[in-house]
Amino acid sequence: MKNIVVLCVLVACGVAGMATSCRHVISAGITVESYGQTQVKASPTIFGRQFRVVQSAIARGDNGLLQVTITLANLKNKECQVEYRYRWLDDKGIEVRTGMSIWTPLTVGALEQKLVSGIAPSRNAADFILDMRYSFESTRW
Amino acid sequence: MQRTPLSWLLAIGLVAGFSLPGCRTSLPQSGYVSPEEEGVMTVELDDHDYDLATAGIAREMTQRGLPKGFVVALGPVDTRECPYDVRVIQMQKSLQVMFNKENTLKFMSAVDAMAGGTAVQEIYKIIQFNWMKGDPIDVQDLQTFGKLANVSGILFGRVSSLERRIPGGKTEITYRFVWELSNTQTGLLELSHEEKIRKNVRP
Repeated sequence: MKNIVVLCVLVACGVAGMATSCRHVISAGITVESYGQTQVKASPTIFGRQFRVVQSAIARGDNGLLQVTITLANLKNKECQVEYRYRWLDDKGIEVRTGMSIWTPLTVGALEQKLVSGIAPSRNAADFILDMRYSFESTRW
Repeated sequence: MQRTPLSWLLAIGLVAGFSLPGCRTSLPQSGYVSPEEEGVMTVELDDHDYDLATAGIAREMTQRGLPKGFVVALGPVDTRECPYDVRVIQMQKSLQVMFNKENTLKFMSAVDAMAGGTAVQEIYKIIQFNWMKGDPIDVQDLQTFGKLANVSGILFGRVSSLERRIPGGKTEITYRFVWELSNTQTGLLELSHEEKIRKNVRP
């Protein structure tokens, strides 16, 4: 009986250890990708079902630059801090490298909808990838 | 013999409890880290803050669709309302790189634009003086500067910061970058843009 109690404690420790040590798995983030500018594909389980892509609008402006607005809904009754960035691809799928693709902080309130907008840095951009990740304090020091 | 399965279970429990931390993001094996990481955060303007500030105005200028061949010179940037160091030249260089890749407009500093010309330097001093005083910029000065320095627009900047103590021993600091692009041909304000960066940091 005593052994079983010890076993239960150890397994509980293991589960607790797993819960804390694997946090980075859920922080891996989502990638919203557009394909042929006609549809937006997103993971159905964004941040453990915390977010949903409600709407997406993609258009080429008068200046010839691709503009994107993704509407994200926070499905949880809890505020969340994330970061996002747009990466741009040309019509051959080659990345259009630019200094404008930087991680931008975004706070989404409980059950709130946020517009995540981006504009291509060049007329060559024909497609995009929207990356998102949870904001975490760096653990490298 | 009956204790053998229990020993196995105990071993599994131990493995779960003590070896799973290996699942955690491991410490870097090299001193090099990706510059895309958040990096060190202090109350001062950090590397990522410069990225955010320059990307904001670059995005705004790109979105406006300035005519091809438009030459923008970074003019005076008033940083007196910010107690921390503001690396204006670094911002100018970052913008220059971004627009070089964008390939529509050219970006340079006003200092580079007026190299060698004493008349243009005198006009720039008047423009700078007015901007620093908060007075309106004279349209004729702008147009003359544009002709002599061969630039289409001047980008003016103001950087200020607001610092507050917040509960928990942290400091909230908000940097405000206000940019105004004046057209040196028409003398009109081409665009104005404000970029705010707020950080909660432990001093």
